[in-house]
Amino acid sequence: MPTEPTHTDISRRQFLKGSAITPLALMLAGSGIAAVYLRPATAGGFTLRPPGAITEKRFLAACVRCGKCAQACPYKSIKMAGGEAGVGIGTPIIIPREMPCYLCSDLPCIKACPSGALDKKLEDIEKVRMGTAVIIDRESCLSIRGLRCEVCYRQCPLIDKAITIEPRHNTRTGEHTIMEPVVHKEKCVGCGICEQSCVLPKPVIVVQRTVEIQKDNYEF
Amino acid sequence: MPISGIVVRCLGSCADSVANQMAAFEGVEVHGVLPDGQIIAVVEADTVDGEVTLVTELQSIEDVISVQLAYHNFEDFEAERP
Amino acid sequence: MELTRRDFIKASAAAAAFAAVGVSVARPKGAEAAETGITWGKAPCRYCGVGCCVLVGVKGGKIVATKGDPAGPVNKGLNCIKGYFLSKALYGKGRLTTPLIRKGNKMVEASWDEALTLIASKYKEAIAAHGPDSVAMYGSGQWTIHEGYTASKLMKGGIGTNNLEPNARLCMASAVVGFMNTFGSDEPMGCYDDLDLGDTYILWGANMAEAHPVLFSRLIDNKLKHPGVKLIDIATRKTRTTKMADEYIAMKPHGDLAAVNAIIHVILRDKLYDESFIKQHVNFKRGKENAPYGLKDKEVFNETPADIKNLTFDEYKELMKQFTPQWGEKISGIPAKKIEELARIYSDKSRKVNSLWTMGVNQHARGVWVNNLIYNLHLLTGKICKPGENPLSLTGQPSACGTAREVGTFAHRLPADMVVMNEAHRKKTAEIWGIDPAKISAKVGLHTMEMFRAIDRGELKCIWIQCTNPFQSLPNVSRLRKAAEARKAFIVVSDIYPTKSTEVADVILPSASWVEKEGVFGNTERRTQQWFKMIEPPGQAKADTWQLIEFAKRMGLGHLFPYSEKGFYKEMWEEYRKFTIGVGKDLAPYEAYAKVRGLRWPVKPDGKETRWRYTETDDPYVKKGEGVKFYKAPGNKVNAWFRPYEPPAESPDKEYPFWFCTGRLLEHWHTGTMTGRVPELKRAVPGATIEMHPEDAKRIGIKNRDMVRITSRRGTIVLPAEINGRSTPEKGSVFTTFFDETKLINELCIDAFDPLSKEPDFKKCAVKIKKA
Ligand code: SF4
Ligand code: SF4
Ligand code: SF4
Ligand code: SF4
Repeated sequence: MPTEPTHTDISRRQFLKGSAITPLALMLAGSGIAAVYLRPATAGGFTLRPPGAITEKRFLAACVRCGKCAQACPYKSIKMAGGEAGVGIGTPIIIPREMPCYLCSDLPCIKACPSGALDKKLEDIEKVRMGTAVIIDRESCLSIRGLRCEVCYRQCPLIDKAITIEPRHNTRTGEHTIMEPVVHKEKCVGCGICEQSCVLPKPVIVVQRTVEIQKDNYEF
Repeated sequence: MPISGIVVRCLGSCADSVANQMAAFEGVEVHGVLPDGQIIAVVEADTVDGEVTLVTELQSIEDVISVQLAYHNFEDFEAERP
Repeated sequence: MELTRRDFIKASAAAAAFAAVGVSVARPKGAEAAETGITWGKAPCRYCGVGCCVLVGVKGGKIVATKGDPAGPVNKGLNCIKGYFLSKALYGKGRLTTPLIRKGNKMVEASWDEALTLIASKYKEAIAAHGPDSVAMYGSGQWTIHEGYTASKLMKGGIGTNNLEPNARLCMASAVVGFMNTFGSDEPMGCYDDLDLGDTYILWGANMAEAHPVLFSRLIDNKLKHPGVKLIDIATRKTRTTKMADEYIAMKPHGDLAAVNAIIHVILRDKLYDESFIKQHVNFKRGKENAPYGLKDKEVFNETPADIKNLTFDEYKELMKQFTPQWGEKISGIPAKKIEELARIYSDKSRKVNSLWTMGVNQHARGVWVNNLIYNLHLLTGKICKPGENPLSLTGQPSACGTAREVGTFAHRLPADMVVMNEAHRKKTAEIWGIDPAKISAKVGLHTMEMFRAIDRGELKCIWIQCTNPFQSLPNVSRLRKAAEARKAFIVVSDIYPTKSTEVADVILPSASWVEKEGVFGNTERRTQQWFKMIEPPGQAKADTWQLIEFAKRMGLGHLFPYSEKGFYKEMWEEYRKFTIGVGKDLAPYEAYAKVRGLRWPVKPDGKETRWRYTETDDPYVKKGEGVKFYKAPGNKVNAWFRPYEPPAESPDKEYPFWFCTGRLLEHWHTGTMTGRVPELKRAVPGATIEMHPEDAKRIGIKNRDMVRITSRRGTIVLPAEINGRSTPEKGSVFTTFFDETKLINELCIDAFDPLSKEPDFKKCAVKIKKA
């Protein structure tokens, strides 16, 4: 049976729910955790909007919630947000894991938008910036672990531009290549196809808010 | 039946109240509160989706800074349940 | 207090969370047991010819985990994404679990006894009325060695027909004939170690990055470690392989036949060859030319000894004078300058040159010839049988080598390089099988294309298909599907899921797959890998060997399989092994394989494997001091063949202006029967697309993801366009994959085949394209 915990780092511990396992977990002394996965918290507060959406604040004000973009989308990528979106209720959103944006070359969603919430000046699909794909969990990414996955890379509509493969020697096996997918934010349109296609149960690559490039004078 | 070990960060002064709020959730067991405001808990849900929802709810508790997943097991041990 | 496993897992979860914040805690002993309450066993991957090793974790009769086997010499714990989701191939939706018999348009559940008795009665009926050549069996390079061996003994030694074929006819037949008529023995002299040890790799029409994923990762690592390593990709489309190559050389479809000849021309013209190697090891031969394309039913083309002319080296040189680099450029599209350059690379004494090829060369109306010509490059320059310097024919299926080729489940083969046409071979086989030699027919059976055409002609009455899906994968498949749908033959299909082939079956039998049975596979590099049964197959599903032997009993042939129930796999193995001993194909005793992650044959008397054949450095059949000895070839001399250029069966014209090529991609395996049921892979790549060159697309007004209608003389199909995606065909060509069972792309493919190997050309026919 469990003995008294010896670990003193945990000073103000509380036992809020009595259960068979609570004392068990706490009595654990020593070391020896084989695998610990830490996943950063997801980017809270970011909503993926259709192509051409103006900045979020202005978008919320401009969008008349008519749903025309959603109707125009041949893939039904655009959904109308429900009550959970708070003030954003009724605005168009894209949930990549359900259906990413396939980047129609004629951008019918923008054409359908009557309010200017989707910017009609945007015509070149490679200039779309809905967000930026980020590998949020390198430890889980199969390719970074040396397997031959790279599914996100091969599915990216801007393959070799938005995502490239950076090969490097696998020091563990000594004779294989790690083919790491690397996203280039100056090219990524944020369509979410990579996020949708990632083979793991929780996507390892996800679209997040685009962080402005911080300009300085160094040019290489 | 996924089970996860999570680390919840919050402001040190709020740790106790957050821990109490967390404990009120079905499927959450708080295992310890550290002096710097980190709370160790185990989350259990019926499905991975349910688990994600639960974690999202924890995230929305006031004063919570972040919820990090430290361990994840989604093996099926249905047969063992009483 | 009773602690459940769940409690232990929770304790682990909490402990891990504590550890994450720097509070170190130990996992309770029980928790470790809860996680490791899994029994791990070893097996080769079920999918491709690379032959990665995996560990299979079983608990409570179910696979709960799989992982790459760190002890696996091929993959050292890695897998590709198919291998990562391996166990899901068994747990997909819709596994077949009970025998089904056709009653009109319905498939009705039946017992094994009913089904097998019905099959036996149909086979008996056909044999009584039309002789043993009116029945057939069609198997697979995914059959285990035991399954192939059982089928071969049953058909060839029992029923007395050579109508036994593997689907490997569609992938490796050209390589086989190439090996046989050049070296006198099937399968490569080199092995995967050559990928680590060489410095120059020339790929002939092979997209290794996707078709041989883990092997490619090994090849690229050699390049990363050694900046001098050069990878040259000669191909008809730019692929992920091209992206990682040092150089891409665009070639017209069928251009390899001209390009290799022109390279040889330069080697001869500039005396870049290794004269002493040639003198010692090489004979020159000229074979039968003006070959047909197999488009007519029952067309026969054989290269008999009477058709073969011996040439002197000088005569050969004289004949090769016509294939100038300029001529090569005209036909292959590879600039003459490049051809000269390639000749210099191939003959550069300071370079260790390897050629790698697979379906681009094999699925080719003159596939055997191109195999022969690539060997010529290595024979003329002496770059062969040396560590790090070899031609390596890459295989596609996990046991195309082990089963189809080594056991010899082709219509003309017997185990260990023997053939049915040879009396001595039949005698030896009959002796080991314990049967009358007269029982084995000397008549070559129907090769795959003829086998299925014979159904249409009404000549083949019964066929049993195991472990493969021909009614999706054969070319010009609509003719064959129509014949089957018209019920022209009695068709039995054993598989694990419903497929395009079970759709047309009269009897469907549920099979056990992979670790649901015991088995042995043999991969590309002659590596034989064994595994044990780890879980029970679902429902009433049974191993293919069991199905065949139960059938044999009902045919009065049960005596062919006198193995005990407990020692079944070992006893059959030891019988089969007799074929391999002393003929340069030696396999080890069964127990040896249970311990190791495979052994490359010939296995030496001391139990060690052979990495390089025909050389004193490694091969036990070559004595020290003999250097290189091609001991399987007559007079220890191999053949360099004169093989001229002959055009493909069908080329683009005004009406059908595009080349149409088909192949694989990384995420899916063959006809998608398994990978199509792995949700993650299905989500990653849900269906086939048609790859086009952006300029072609623009000209026709096709944008990415537009629906496109592709029409050949045989069929028509609509697919979404993929432009600037993972691969880009050269202008004038389009490419698609064959995994998508909702899109029978093989309806478009021409059923032309190589007259020597009878392997269909899935890479070339003419189509027209328009926006749908
Ligand atoms: S670009 Fe096309 S797929 Fe993307 S949101 Fe607009 S209409 Fe939908
Ligand atoms: S979101 Fe992903 S798939 Fe889309 S462009 Fe960016 S990296 Fe490529
Ligand atoms: S699909 Fe997911 S696991 Fe695979 S390489 Fe991309 S991010 Fe990594
Ligand atoms: S490379 Fe081939 S053998 Fe290896 S895991 Fe992938 S499919 Fe399996």
